[in-house]
Amino acid sequence: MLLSRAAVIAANRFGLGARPAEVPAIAADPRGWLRAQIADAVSGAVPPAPLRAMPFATDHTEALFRARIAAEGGDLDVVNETMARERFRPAALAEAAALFRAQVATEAPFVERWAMFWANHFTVGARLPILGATAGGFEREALRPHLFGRFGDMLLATARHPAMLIYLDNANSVGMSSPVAARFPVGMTENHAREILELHTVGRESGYTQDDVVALARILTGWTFGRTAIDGCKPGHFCFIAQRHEPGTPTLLGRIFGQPDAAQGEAALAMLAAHPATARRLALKLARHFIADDPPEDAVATLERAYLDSGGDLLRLAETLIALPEAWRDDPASRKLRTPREWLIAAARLLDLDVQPGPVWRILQALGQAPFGAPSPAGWPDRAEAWLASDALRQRLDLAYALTRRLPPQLSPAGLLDAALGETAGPATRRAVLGAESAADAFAMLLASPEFQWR
Amino acid sequence: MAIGMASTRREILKGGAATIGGAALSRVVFARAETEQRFVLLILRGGMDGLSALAPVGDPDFVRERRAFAEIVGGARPLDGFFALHPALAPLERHWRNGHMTPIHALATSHRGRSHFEGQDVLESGVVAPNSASTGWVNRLAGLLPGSGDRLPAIALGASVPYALRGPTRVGSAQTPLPIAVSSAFIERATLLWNDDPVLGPALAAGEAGPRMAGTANAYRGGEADIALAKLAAERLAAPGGPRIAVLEQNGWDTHSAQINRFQRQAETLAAMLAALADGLAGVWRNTAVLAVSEFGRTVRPNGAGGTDHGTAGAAFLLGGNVRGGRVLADWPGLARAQQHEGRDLKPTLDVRALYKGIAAGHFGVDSPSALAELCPDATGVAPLALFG
Repeated sequence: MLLSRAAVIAANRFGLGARPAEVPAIAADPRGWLRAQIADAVSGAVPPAPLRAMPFATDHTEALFRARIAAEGGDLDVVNETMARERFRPAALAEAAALFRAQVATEAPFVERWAMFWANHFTVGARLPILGATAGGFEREALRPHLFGRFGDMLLATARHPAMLIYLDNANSVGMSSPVAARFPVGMTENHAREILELHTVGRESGYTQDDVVALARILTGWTFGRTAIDGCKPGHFCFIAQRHEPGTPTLLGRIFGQPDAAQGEAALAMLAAHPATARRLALKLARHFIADDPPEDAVATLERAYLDSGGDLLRLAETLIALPEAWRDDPASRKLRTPREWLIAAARLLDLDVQPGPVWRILQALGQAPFGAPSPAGWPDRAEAWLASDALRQRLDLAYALTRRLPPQLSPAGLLDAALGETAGPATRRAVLGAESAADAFAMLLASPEFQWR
Repeated sequence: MAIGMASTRREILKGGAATIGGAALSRVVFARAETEQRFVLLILRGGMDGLSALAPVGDPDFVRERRAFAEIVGGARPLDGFFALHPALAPLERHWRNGHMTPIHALATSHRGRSHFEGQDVLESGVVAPNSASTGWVNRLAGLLPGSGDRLPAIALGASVPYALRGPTRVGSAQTPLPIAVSSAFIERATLLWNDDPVLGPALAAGEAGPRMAGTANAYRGGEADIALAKLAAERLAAPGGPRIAVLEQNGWDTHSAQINRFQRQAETLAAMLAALADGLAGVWRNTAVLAVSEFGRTVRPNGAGGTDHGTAGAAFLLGGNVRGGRVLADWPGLARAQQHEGRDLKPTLDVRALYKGIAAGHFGVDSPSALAELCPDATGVAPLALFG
């Protein structure tokens, strides 16, 4: 079956590349196929099978902090290193493999892309072994429950999650005038507050100042997790510790926050989620992800309105996005380069490849996108030029060849060409795939074709 | 690897281009950098704590302001009586003794916002306002070098192209490849297909000619991978027909917590990367300059997590056989609270663009006012520093 241009866009731009079995459903109704995935997710679809058996992030953080408590007087570096070797690094490898398998196997690839988008927006990078082990749990626990809920709820869940509290250091932030600071040489850290403003919500364009960063950092003091035998919290689990909270009524973006304790932070995050600058920023990021590196202003404005009109309802945003005519254009200005990860997922979905955990990690690392390895809290870049290094592109060609050497004989090059690219396959690519010397070379040529690099 | 046995990639590209006409040929023709001078920009991402890297131990406020961090350099021998290297950077002392290293301090970009992303934009674009330039300063530098022929003037190390190298001058990239065998005939046919794509064709064609070296791409720890890329950079730059400029990066300097241990690991890797460059480029060290620089420094005082938050001015290192070394380049502002930028950061007294211009002029001889204006368009008031000879 030759997929129409609209069907190819549904499968590739909105999805993660077609699995051959999905082709009839996509071809029958491209937009309906996407909407049905959302409807299933909203009605309580559980995470994809490979993710269901994975541990909670707090299994790891609790183990870490219990070990630290047990090692009181012992060398914490040794505890950390032992746990990294025996527990956290193997856990990170298992998490990376489970997520990759979920993305390859899913029958709701738009939902998985949507999850991938928000996981990149709220990046937790494996700066420490514990973060490699908990980044997957972070995605399942803080992001997936809210994928089609309110952005404000997702934001709050991320700010309370142990993985984010470790990654952006808020777990260690203590108000300078708090009771704890009066007794111990501790202090405040700005990192989480700064990245919430700059990356998670309003962005630099909103014009916030250093005073706003400090205000939000004060507001978030005390947001941490249990770490000692006596702080009254469960080790490794989120906990607001009032004794660490900076007293006072800070002014953030012109608003005074006079609430007590954790309610202050909850109010501040709710204000940031509802802020027009947040609506604008998320609209631009979504349009950039689903339409073009430099998306048309009309599309951004439509998404922005949908966000503001719905109070940050991500279901409304997803529906608006699918309805945007700009997202369905098939012209050189409306296409997105597949990131290395997207390319590998699409190849594995098309050919039903089972890439083993070790190779998944090594391949993605060699292509510049190691699992949980985003170089900064800004996440992976979403513009083509960041991924156009010649050697990395050349490695895609090498991999296209290597991945297709041992495929089952019943696969048909013509069928897979149509499933992958449909009407969008150019004549040169069609000739190169169908005229290849062997089926293996035909599949390699398909994965290596210029059309397969774009979505 | 099978690739390269039948033909080199450069020949493939030429062959492919020839079959589809002259227009395509121009995509694989690059400006030859007719120079023997080498330059490496090492971007230290995350904001290196300059007061740890190059500690002003002679400053009367150092111990009081830096608290636990001051003890780390307590035993270090100052380079010049005032500044001391972090112990993990002790391997750099040999360059200091040889007069081949200039540490630089109280240095900053023109950005004052304490954002990593804007700070790195300004560091790499060499232009005042973040997001306002579409080209990087190293790309513009490569474009100013005399050239003809088909040699790439510059390469990026790693799987992505840093902003510093983006722009109209075609640059290559190099990274440690996966150890897999590929048919050269297949690569040839696939490359032909890419020639028709206006974005992918030129990007792929910017690659290095010749067979790819088998490498180990499975270093789990960031440090090992960084050092491997530094070695690769040195190999490429040392080659007689190779590129002359390389940009590589080291992530992980954002030490908001547990800074003492994290900085130690980062600095060890940095020292090993610089050693890999100096060793690999030893034969052309007289013609080599290496600049290691970060988007900003960090707060003077530690925060509550045993770390430091985003600050303003920081430190950088310039190494090379023709560097006018043996001195620390700094107009030291002092660490007294009143001297700090906004009462918390080291005050900047030196603009990175003075270094950029100094490298263009002193190292590459690109010193005409018009060329320097092209290199740093909105820095007419910033004079090039005399860094060499």
